[in-house]
Amino acid sequence: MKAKFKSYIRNLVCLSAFLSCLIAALLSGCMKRPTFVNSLPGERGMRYSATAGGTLTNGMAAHRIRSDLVTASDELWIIARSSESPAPQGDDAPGSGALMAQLEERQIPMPLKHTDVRASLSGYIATVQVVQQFHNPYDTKIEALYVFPLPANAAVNEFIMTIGERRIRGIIRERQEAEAIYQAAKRQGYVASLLTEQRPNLFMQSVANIEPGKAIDVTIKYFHTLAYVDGWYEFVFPMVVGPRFNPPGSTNGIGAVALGEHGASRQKTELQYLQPHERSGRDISLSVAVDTGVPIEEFRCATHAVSHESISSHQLAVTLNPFDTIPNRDFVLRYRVAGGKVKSSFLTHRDARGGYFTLMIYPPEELASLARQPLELVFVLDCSGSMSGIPIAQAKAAIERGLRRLRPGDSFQLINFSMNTAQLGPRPLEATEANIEGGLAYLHALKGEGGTMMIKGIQAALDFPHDPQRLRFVCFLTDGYIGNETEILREIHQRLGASRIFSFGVGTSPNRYLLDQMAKAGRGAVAYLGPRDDGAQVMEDFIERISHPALTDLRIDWGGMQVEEVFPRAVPDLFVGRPVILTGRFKGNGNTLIRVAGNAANDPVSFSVPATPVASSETSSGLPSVWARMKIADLADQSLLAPDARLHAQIKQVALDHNLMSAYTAFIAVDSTRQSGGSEGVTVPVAVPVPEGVNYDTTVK
Amino acid sequence: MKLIGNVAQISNLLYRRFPTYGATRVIAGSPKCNSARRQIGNLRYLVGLCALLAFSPSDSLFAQPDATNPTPVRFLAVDIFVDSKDQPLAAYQLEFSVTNSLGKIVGIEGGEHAAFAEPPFYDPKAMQRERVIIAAFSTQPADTLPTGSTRVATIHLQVIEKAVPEFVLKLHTAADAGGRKLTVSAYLEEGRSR
Repeated sequence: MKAKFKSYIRNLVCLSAFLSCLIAALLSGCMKRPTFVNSLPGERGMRYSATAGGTLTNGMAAHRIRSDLVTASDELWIIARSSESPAPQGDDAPGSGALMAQLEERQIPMPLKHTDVRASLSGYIATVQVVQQFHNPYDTKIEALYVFPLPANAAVNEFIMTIGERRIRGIIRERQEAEAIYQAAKRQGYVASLLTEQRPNLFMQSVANIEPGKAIDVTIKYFHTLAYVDGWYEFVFPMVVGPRFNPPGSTNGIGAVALGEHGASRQKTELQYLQPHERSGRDISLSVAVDTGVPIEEFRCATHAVSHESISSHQLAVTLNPFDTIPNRDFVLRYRVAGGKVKSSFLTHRDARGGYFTLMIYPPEELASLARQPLELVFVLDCSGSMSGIPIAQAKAAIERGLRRLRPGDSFQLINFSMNTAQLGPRPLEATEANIEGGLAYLHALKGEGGTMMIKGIQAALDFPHDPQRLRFVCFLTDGYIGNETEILREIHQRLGASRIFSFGVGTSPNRYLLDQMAKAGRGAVAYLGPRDDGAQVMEDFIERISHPALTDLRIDWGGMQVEEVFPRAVPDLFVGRPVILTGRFKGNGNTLIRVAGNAANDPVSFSVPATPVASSETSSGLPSVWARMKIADLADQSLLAPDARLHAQIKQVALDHNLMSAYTAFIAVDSTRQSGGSEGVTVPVAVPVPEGVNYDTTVK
Repeated sequence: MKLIGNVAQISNLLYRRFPTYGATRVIAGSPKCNSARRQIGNLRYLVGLCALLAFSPSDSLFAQPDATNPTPVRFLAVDIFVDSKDQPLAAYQLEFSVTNSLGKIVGIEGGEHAAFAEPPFYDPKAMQRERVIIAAFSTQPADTLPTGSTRVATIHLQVIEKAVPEFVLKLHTAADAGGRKLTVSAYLEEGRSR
C-alpha cells in the first residue's frame, strides 16, 4: 500500500512538472515573433521575393510574368520595357530606343539613379560634394546597398540625408554604435542612412525603408590634397571599383560576383557586377571649378569628354559631357600652371582647436644637373586575368621603354606573377644589348590570365641581395585588384631594405589606395597609366626622374612656428618634378622663414621657403580635416606593422573629434518622424559595371 | 499475472505502439515487472517532454537576448522653436542636450522656414556627450525672414524604449538682419509625423 502510494506521488510530481513545462512552452512560443533568418553568415540578411508583374513608378509598365512560372522562392529581377516608344532623340544619344535596340541591351532597374559630383580646386586642396540619388523603382519597400570608391586620402566630414524638401544632417558615431542604431531604425520602419568605410578608398552606403516610388538623396562632402607631378596638378574622381582577387580561404576581402549571386564570394564586402550587355540606367554628372591663383596654361582630361569655360586667366570650369556619363572609369583632370612648375608654398588655418598648416616643398633647380648614378631596375608585372587586354599591353610598352633606356653599368630583372611567379633569371642581368633583347623576348611572351597572388610577386622582388653599387628601384605594374591590401603592405614593410618602390597603376580604375600606400611604404612614388595614356612616355619620365639623385635625409627648421604632429612622419625623398607635401599643427607665429636641408649624391643642399599665412578661406577651412585624415592614416600604418587595440582607439578618437569617417567611425542619419509599416523590405545591392577595359569573364565569379 | 507485452505504452496517443529499445517480455507482478512499470512510467513523460522540446520554437523555452538588439529602443523627434514675436529672426545659437544618458542623437534636421532649412552644423566634441550646439544665420532680406514662433531645427533621437529621456534647451543668442540682439524665447515640442 505504502509502495503504491509512493508510486502515485511520484507519478503525480512528474505529471505536474511535465504539464508546467508544456504550458510555459506554449505561452512563450506564442509571444515571440519568428527571428529574422539571415541567409549570410554575417550581419546582413537578404531575401528576394518574386512578384508576378508590378508597376515601376517611372511610368514604365512592368513586363507581366505568368504566375505559374514563378514561385515564392525564385530570385527574379523585374525587367521593364516601355509600352511606348521613347521620344526620338537621335540614334547617337545614349538611352535612345534605337541605340538600345542595336546593342540588344538589357535594362536592369537599380536603386541608385544618379550621382552628382561638384568639385572645387584651390591651390592643392580639393573640396568635393557628392550627391547620390536613390529611388525605389519596385512595388515593395527596399533597402539599398551601394559600395563605391572615393580617393584614399579623402577626409569625409559631412553627411546629409534629403527626403523631399527636408534635410537631415547625419551624426558621426563609433562604428558599431552607428550600425546598431541603423539596424534598429530599419527594423522599426524608419528611413535611415548609414555610411561605413570598408577600405580607406572604399565605402558602403546603406539606405533603409525606401518606400515604393520614393526618393532619398545622400550628400557626402570631403577634402583631399591634389597630386602634383612634373608641373601638372591632378584631380581624380574614382567612379567604379574593379573586381578584386582574394586569396583562397580569405573572408575579409572584397568579393566580385555576378548580378543576383549574392554571397557567392563568401567575402565580408561584396560587389555585384553587370554583364557587358546590361545597363542600370544610372549615370553621373560632374563639374570641376579650378582656381589656381596663377594663370592656367593647359589642361587635359584623357578619360572623358568634357566641356570647359575659362572664367579668367586663373579660373577654369570643366563639365562632363552629357553623352559620356556612364560611370565605368575614373575621371582624371590634369592642369598645368604658368612657368611649368610651382614654387614651394604654404597654407594655414586657425580656429578654436589651434593652428594647422600644409607646406609644399618643391625640389631646387640644381638637383636636375647632378650626375646620374648606376641603376638596378626590377620590373614586376601583374599577369593576372584582370590585366588582360589593354592594361597588360600598356604595362609591357612601359617596361620595354624602361629596358631600352638602360645604360651600360645598369642592371635589370623581370618578374611576373599571377597565381605563381616566374622571373627572367636567377639574378639581375647586366644591361648589355644581348641581355636586353633577351628580356624583351621574355616580356613579349607574357599574357594576362589567372588569379593575383601579389604576395609572391613582392617576395620574389625584394628577397634577393641588393647591389650596393647601384640604386635599386622596384617597379610594380598592376591594377591592384586584390582584397588583401593589409597583407601586401605588411610584406613590403618587412622586406623593403634599401630598395625604393615605384608603383604604376594600370587601367581605368586601379586600386589607388594600394598603389599609393606601396609607394609610400617603399619611399618611392606612384604613377598612373590610363587607357589613353602613353605608357612608354610615362616610363620615360620616370627613368629621367630617378636618374637624378633625390634630395635625401630632409631636415626642416620651422623657425618660430612651434610645429607638432607633422605628417608624413618620415619626410620622403625629394625627387625632381615631385614635391613633398607636409601637413601639421602649429602654435607659434605662422609668419616665418622655413629652412630645408638635405643630401644630394652625398653633397649637402639647403634652401629657404618663406611662410606667410594667408587669410582663412573655404579651402583652408578644410585643413583640420586633411590633417586629421593624415594622422588617422599614420596610426593605421603603425597598426599595420604592430596591431594594437590602443591605436584603434586613437584612430576612433581623432575621427570623432574631427567629425571624420574612418574604419572605426560611421555616419548615421535617421528620420524619426515617419514610420512605415510592414516588413523591413527587400535588400537590393546596387550592381555596378566592370571598369572599362577589364574582362568580365576572367574577373567576376 | 498479466502480460504487459513487448512495447512501451506512452499514454493513449496514436504512437502508443512506438517500440522501445530492447523489448522484453515482462510478467505482471514480478520484480522485473514493477521495475519495468516504473521505468515505463518515467519514460512516458520524458519522451513526451523531449518531443515537445524538439518541435517547439527554439526561442520559446530557452529564449536568449537577441544579440543584434540587446536593448529595446524607440525613436522620436524633438522640434526646437524660437519665438521672436514680431521681429524677423536672422540668426540664433542654442544648445540642446540629453541630460540623463537615455537618448542618442541620430540626426539634426533643418527648420521649416527657407531661411533655416539647411541642417545646422554641430560641434563634434560636444556631440560625444549628446550635447548639440547649433547655430545658423541667414543673409536673406529682413522682409523674407520668419517672425513669430518658428521651428528652427528638429533633433532626431534614439531612446531606450521604456525610459523617459530628459532634455535641456539653452538659448545663447538671437539676432535680426542688422545683427542686433533680439529678445526671444525658445522651447521644445515632440516632433510630429511629416
